[in-house]
Amino acid sequence: MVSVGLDIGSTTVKAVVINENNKIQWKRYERHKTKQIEKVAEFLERITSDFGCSFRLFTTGSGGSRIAHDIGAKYFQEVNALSFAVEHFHPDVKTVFELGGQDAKFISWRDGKGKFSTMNDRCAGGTGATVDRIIMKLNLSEDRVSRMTYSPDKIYPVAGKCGVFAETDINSLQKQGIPEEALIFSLFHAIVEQNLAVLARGFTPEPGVLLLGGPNVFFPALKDAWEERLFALWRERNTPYQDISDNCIYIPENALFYGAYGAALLGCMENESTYIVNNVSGLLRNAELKKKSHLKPKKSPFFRNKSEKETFYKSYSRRTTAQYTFCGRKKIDVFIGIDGGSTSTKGVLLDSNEQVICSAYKLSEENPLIDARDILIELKNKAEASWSEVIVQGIGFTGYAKDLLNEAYGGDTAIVETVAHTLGALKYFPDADVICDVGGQDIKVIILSEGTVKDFRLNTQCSAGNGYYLQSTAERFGYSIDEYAETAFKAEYAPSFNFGCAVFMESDIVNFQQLGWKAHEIMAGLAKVLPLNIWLYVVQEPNLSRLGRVFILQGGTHNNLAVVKTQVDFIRLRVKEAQIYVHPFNEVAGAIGAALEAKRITHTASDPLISHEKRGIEKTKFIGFNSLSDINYTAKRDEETRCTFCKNNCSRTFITIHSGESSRKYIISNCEKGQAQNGSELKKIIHNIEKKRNNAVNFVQISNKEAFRSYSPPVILHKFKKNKRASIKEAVIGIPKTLNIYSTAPFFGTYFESLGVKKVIFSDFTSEELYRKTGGRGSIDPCFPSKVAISHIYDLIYNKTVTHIFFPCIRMLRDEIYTREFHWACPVVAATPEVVKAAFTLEKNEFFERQIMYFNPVLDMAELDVLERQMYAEFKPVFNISKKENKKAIQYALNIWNNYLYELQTKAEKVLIEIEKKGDIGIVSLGRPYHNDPGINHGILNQLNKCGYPIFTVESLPREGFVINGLFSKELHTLYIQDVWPRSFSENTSLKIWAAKFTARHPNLIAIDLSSFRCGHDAPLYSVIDNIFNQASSPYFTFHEIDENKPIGSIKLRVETIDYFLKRLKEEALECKKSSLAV
Amino acid sequence: MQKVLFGGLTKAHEILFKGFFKHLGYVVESLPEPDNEALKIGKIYCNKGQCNPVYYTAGNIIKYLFNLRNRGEKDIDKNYLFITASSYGPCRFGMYETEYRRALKEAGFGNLTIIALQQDEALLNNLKEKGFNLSRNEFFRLLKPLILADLINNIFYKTKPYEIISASMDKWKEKSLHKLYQALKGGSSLVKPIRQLKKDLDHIELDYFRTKPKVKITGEFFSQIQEGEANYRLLGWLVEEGAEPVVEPITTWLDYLIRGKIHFTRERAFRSRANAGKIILTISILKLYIHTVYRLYRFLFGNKPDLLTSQKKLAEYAKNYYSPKLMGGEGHLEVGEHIYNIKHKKAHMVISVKPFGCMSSTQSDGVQTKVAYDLKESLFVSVDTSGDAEVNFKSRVLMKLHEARIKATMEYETVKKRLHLHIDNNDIERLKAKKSDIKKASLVLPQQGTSTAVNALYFISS
Repeated sequence: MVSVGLDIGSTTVKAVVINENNKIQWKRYERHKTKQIEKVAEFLERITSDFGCSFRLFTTGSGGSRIAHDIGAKYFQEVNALSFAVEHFHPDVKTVFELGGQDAKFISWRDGKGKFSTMNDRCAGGTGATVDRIIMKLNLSEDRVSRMTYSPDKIYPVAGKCGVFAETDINSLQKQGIPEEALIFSLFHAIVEQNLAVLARGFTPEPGVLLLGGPNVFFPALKDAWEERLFALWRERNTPYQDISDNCIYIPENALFYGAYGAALLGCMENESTYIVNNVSGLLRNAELKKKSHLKPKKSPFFRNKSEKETFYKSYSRRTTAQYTFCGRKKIDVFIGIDGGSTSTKGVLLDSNEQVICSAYKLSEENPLIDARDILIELKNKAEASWSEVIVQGIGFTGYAKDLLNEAYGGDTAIVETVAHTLGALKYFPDADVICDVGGQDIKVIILSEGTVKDFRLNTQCSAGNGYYLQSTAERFGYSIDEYAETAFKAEYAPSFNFGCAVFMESDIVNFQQLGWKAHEIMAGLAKVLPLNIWLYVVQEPNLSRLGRVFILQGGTHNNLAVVKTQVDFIRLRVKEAQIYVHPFNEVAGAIGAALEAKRITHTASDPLISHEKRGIEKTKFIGFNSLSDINYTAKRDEETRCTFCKNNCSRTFITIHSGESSRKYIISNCEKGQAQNGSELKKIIHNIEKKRNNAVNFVQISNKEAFRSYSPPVILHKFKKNKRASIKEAVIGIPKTLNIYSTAPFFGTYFESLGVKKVIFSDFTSEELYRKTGGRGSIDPCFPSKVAISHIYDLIYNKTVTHIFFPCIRMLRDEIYTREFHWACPVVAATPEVVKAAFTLEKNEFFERQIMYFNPVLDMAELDVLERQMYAEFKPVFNISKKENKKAIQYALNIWNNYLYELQTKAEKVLIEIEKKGDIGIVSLGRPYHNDPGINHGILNQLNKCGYPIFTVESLPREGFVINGLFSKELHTLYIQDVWPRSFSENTSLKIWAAKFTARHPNLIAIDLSSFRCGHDAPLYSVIDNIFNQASSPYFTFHEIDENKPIGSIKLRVETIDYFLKRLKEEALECKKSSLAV
Repeated sequence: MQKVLFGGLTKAHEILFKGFFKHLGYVVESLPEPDNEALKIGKIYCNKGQCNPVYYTAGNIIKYLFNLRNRGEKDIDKNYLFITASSYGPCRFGMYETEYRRALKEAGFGNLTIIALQQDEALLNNLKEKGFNLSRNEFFRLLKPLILADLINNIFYKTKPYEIISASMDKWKEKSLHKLYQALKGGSSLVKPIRQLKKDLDHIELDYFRTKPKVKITGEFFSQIQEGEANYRLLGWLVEEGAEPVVEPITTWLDYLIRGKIHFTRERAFRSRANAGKIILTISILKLYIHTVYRLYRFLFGNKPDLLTSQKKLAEYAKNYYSPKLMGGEGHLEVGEHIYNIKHKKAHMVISVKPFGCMSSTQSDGVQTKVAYDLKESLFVSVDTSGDAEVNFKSRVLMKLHEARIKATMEYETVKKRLHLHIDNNDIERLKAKKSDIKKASLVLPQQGTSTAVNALYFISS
């Protein structure tokens, strides 16, 4: 009797039939397109017709367990099935990487140490699902991707840890004009990095690597990416390996079927008379029916009856009332607005009375330049159907690609999306209280009060992709986005999704499919979860009535009536008297805002000598419709375009825009300096930056300079005997520039210097390059600041010459905030030195190999007497110091530390007094000490400083003196926070809250709340900080969930929005009621 | 009098606590087991980015209060009081109280009294301030139902996988809890009912010769002790999958905190030896009391439940990997348990369960790879619970469980050979017949190997 192995995955079904000799007789690999059971039934019917209706059946894969249970087959977990097949075919193989739809697996056979296997955690970042989504997003065919030849020179930073993060990065890069091929290579590179980082758990994958699973088989470029990275890793870790030609990394024949084959082979070890199934397809159908009977507890249709549906359609289906009335004039003056969004490009023409003449919409196909050109031509053609001549008075751009488009087409303004959407909505609904704009990638919720903006919420990268998510899911199910609503409306039942993360929703879909939910029901469930994502996850306001009464829904996603219906239901349930409108031009509201801004810009400075008609023509910088067809571009990113203006030597992309015979260059770079092409341009840029920076002190930079310098304390010499001195004199102490070292470095640096060590060296600041070098060394995935500590220790071991590494587990921090409890440090931060130690001693002791001693004592900075004993206990055996010497060194260190803080805070006090006098605005960075690290804060603070705002840190805010006494005069204690935060045991958390109180009370300060992704101590603070600023009616902005990837587009959007509103705030001389603008 | 609401422990603990408080005259309601609906409600009313226990527990109390409101109850804020565990340590567990308050406020129960029990000496005062006046004696007595529930759970999970008559152990557990509840409620002696329960165990038949891998559950405390959706019914599911789960008593957590407190005080003893001595003495008395009660009740159960593992030993094992001085969460406890259970052949496999994004537990996982590598014998898997993705969670457990099964089978076969036993010639059956106790659920098998079946083999051949 034949045995069947079925591997039922999240996206595909694989089957093999083997005979008694374990030879494959039949095999199939097909995508099930969400119809998992149907596909399994189809396969089994085919097997029945070829091999008879009786066979033994064994399953594996994420969907295998349930189906096996339903039809009496035997299920084997996929890693076990896979490794069994590998052991059978390739006894010499040492490592397997298998990529599936949602799962990634790593199996390692280590000589004498048995088998080690891991699977990815919940986040399905580096898997086939991510590849599928990105390929779909880039409008590429699988065939084309499979023909690409990998090039490691074309790699751009893409986050591989999360599908949504990757999508955000790819989106941003695409809008910068990066070619598709380079995007795919960057994605493959990121996937390899991610799998090495998460799956290998710090082990070195040994040569003899088997690559299995769909993505590895179908995309040779992915295999190349594996090879490039693994060879580099082996070289770096001195792992002996054969030449590339010796096939030490390879994809075997039948690489798609190892799971299925392994299940069948394992099945052969079961009793011969077991797991025989007959008439399987009938069984499957029965199982399906059985499931359905208990699946759906209660009906949840969109409409209770027909009339409710009709009323809804009457109110919210697309209207035609907003059409332009043609006047029959021969010429018309127009203002153009173009919104280069994440998934589509939109355009609009307004007449001089701000009426919409026509609009155009296009899903992103090619480069944003080409997309925008097509839109402009379409707008022109539409307008010219009614008028003989269209005279452009002004043109404005918004959206991700606004700067590039502005440069290419001669824009009059490039306006940030948040502002554009607000203007576009207020034009039609001046009494709006809440504008909810849901685009392809972004969710923007703008809260207004009497026509002025009061509050902002933008989604972080974490919940991005909602609009596009609905679209791509529908397409996967075989529906176009236009069919979404009607399809979803058919559902009488809907599965209940968890809100918050698109990737988690993706795994929900897999679960629901396995449970037997149909496509239209899943689509209904997705539409129903969207309001939860918007209002509870992004806006974080369960009580919507607090926001207002008039809600405006706009953005392309609100074309989907299923979404509108769930939004209306959600809002109505919470705000009884809500008025909910869909913007009449919901898709192009942003473009309308851009056109309105273009009109304002080109027509504000009126010149009486120029006629109205001429004024626009002469003022607009638009290149003209006639030049559009000539526009072309080339992109270049190589060693030639690399920036050489600082030691970072960042890669840059030069986009040359050709228009007829002329051409202009647009440079995509990481900073302003990179915009220069030569020395004189650089001088100009630096001059401009310096001009802006005048009077804009940056305490982040000051701290970063002062904290890590040597204070040359007196060396405790006379106490040492000669033989004692030798070990100290030669000691070079390496300290990683990371975590709480940012607030304690002057203390530790001075302690060692005063003991007379040769030198104290700190690692470099975090950078992409530094982090990349240690990919695959960590065994867990905590917050980035903790994870990157491994890179800093690596830097000290391999790039610096040190004899000792000191990385203390700081358990308690310096006591500043008044509390009845202790002054604990974050447990993740405190334990990081232990995790780092494990990473560098896992397979071999790298400290020992490099003759470096590693010290990570547990220290309590808050209790000096305890600290003294802890340091003594640690260093007495090493340097043979006496108690007295230790005590003295501690005292010196403390004095220097106190002086450092005193100087910093005195200087900050002076600046605070000054900005108050001048009526300027200063920004306080509400973060943890390590948010001073430019590699962790992603340069956000620096960018704001370049806009002319002084930047303060929590550490720099004065703890005593004139300023603080003025702000906290009524408090029991100037460092008291128990009124807002009773559980003040986490010192950095307490300091952050205190700084929030300080900032909210100071008339010239606004706050930027920085929080790293997965920060457990920050999560409970979100609402506390929000309340502090709301109660004070003081502005604050948030950058939550910042992580290792640097979403340049999203950061830029926020920085520009902040700059825009702060400028407005300043223009109003801070007299207006300060508003809370949380972006 | 206000009704006291509490929850978040196992069913056994909740029933016995209820009996205890009823005896003291308090009206006590235990919240139902947190389910995924509670998780969803929690996500709506809590800040984003919290760990699961917050969502489950906050969502659970809100769900319960919503039900009361829907039933038409008035003045819920005034009539109810919520007691929950808290901490002063560095883990965000200590911040839960603030989060509960916020969530309850958002859900419309802003005035509900919450008592967050801190794990320190202020506990009694804290209770007193809120009108919950427990004497020191009563506080000590509170530990009895806790320990009893631990013992019942321990017996249940080590016998359930071997029951011959389906659900016989479930019935025993139910009966035990009922009897002990009545005894606690009536304030009568617990010795008699425990003896009776032990006798009941004598009458339940088990087949100890089923070769099942022993799976030690460790990790974040809330997640590991749950019996419901908060960890995908892990314990029950493991039994269904043919494993014997080795569960951790909640008393271990107290023991762990006590060790931490003593160590912390000792580090500061140089300031005032007298004061430190006083504190250490007080805590040591508490520790002695806990261990004495545990051993006494264990004895009354015929020494069937496992002993508490020495915290000193666990810290000793863990210290080379994860400093026991690092406080907050379960830190070194997980590492120590991993090493202890493998070294002392207490389990074939160790599962560390944690909520998605758990702070301390994630960090201790950072060293577990090295621990597993150094131990060689270890089968370790770390899984996180997020309320969804059950398939993903169980698949990762199954990945290792398969290897654990093989390990258990190999161990059984090896021992059989070593003892010259052959199933074919009915050796086992013959020896079984000689040992009349071999089917009794109350039987204590001396540990010589890892699996229960192997210990049974040694037992019959002894």
